Amino acid sequence: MEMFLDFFANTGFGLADYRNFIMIGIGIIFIYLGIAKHYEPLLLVPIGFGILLGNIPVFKGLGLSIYEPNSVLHYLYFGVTKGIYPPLVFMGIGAMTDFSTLLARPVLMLLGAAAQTGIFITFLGALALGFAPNEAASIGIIGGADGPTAIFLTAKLAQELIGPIAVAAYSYMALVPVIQPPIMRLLTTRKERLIRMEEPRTVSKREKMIFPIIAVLLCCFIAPAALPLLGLLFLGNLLKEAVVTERLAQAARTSVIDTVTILLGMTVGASTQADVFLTGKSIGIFALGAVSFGIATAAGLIFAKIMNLFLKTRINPLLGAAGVSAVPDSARVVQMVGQAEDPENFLLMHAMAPNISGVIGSAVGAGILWSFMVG
Amino acid sequence: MHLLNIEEIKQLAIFRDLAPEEWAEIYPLLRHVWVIEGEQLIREGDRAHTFFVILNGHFMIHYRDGRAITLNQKGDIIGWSSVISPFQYTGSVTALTHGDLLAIPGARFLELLQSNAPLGDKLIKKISEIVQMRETMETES
Amino acid sequence: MTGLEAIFYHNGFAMAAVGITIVFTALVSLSLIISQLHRALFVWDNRRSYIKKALRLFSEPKPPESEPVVKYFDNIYESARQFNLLIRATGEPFSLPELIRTAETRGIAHAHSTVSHLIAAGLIVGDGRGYFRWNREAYEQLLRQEPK
Repeated sequence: MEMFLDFFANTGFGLADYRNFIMIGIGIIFIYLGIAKHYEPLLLVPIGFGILLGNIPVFKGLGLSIYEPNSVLHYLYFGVTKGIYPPLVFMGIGAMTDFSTLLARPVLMLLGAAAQTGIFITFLGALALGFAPNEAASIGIIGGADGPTAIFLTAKLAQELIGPIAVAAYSYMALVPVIQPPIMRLLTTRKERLIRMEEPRTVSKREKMIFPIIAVLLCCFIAPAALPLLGLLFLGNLLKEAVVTERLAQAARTSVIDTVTILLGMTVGASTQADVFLTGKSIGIFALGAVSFGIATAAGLIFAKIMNLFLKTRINPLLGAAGVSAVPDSARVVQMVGQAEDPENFLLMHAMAPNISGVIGSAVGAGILWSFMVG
Repeated sequence: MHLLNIEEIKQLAIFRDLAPEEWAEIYPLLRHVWVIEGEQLIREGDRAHTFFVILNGHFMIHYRDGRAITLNQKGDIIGWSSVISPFQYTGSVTALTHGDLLAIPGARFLELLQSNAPLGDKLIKKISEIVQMRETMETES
Repeated sequence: MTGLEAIFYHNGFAMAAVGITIVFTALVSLSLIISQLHRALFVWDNRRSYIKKALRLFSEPKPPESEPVVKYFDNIYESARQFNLLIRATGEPFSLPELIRTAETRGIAHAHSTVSHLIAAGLIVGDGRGYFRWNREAYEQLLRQEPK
């Protein structure tokens, strides 16, 4: 009987406390949202499952927990803590992304820059709430709506916050269709939402090939700390556009990004162990993350309205909301809100331009914050 | 897809204006599906995940209030809510006869949009044209 | 430390201002260079696309006539009689899914495909508002054609 009791005390049931069950519940909700509701399933399913793995109570010292140096999960988590996975994800994104909409109307790139204001305003908000500067920078980057960038910066600046920040970033990315439309309707008039965009010009293959080379040189000379993310983003894009490297591009946009996404999602999920995750700080991060996301959306919209004061041909200010870099979800939301007013207004392709420049902008923003904090 | 006549599919209204390199991108997204009489393809209110192009068969789109329309033209589109607002099926679809369709998952379509935005835009406009033409014909009839 | 005091202490305003300025500088200069790149290649690229467009005008294939893919079936006379009775009982205009449900509950086999055939034969016609009517003229004409 004593042996049985000893054994029971060492099982998950014996070691668990109520916080483990809360986190397991959250993991199951993530899996449910991914599978049943199709909300970012490629991210939410591995993260949700990782949350389950991370919150099964284990005996400390056996090398099972993600935070124990000799555990399997710890080795896999190495790619997160050393910032290896996010640039690889960026390479895959580069190999799938078509920059032609951006090349056709470069002025829309400014909307991607404007939306990054959210990052810096939230950074100030987090400082005001008493977070340390490195933590505040990691929280602010949630407004970039770019999961890999948020994980990359947090891994460099505040490793203990990776779990809550990654979960907040991906949750808000999945909730783009819920969070953005009310802000978009609030900050634009019906007349503005009805503005139709001019057809963009055709972009040549040569331009598409030259673009990643110019972009990586220029952006990384201006913000060298963005090199790991932007370097691989534009490498992936060059592989895609160069045609002769199609095999490599194919690997980058399928097997590489898929493998890394599984490992990244699962280990980030597993890092949300109840004792690390269920803290007052996490609540603050979630609240500030939502604010950050809202400000980023609003900043893009307002900047588009300001641009209209100077442009000969007015742009639809809804495009500003796509400046947050949740690709292509926020562009899709722009299309949805625009079509609610005029079913024949097609904004989707135009919205892809600020959407993609948002990816570049948030990576530059992350690089700048990183260099500020270590400098 | 090996059972399909590719040249015939290329001539369907939705794909007719695609350049060869655009067709090469869209072709891997297509799945050939078969349905039997009485089978429900789409349920009203569900999250829109797939859209279909009719190749063969007669289909009924019906709504909760009892209204319905039927479609039997090759190349007609079902489930366009998966690519156009409100991303939720607005009606149910039941097969009246055995038939076969091309299915395109909405998520794959979004990937296409990311990798080739002009092509995504072209297809969305085409879908919208077909749906509008269908609505005009219904009103006239 | 919290509030404005914390922001000033950590030099927050300066960092935020410099940060957003750098983001704008990077993207504005990139967009300027891209727009110049387009101009540099403009003439050459446009010439190509014009030639392409002109070629497309000559080689555009004519759209094939669309045709209904459903054909008649053999036992239409019996089905028409059954549905004539059924629709008399339910009234007009009627809901098509409701008609199919009623037909199934009355034990009519293959109600879906039968309705499909009746639509193709012009016996069931839409009223333009989403409901349907029984085309009596077509029904009587059909019965006149029935082989004895």
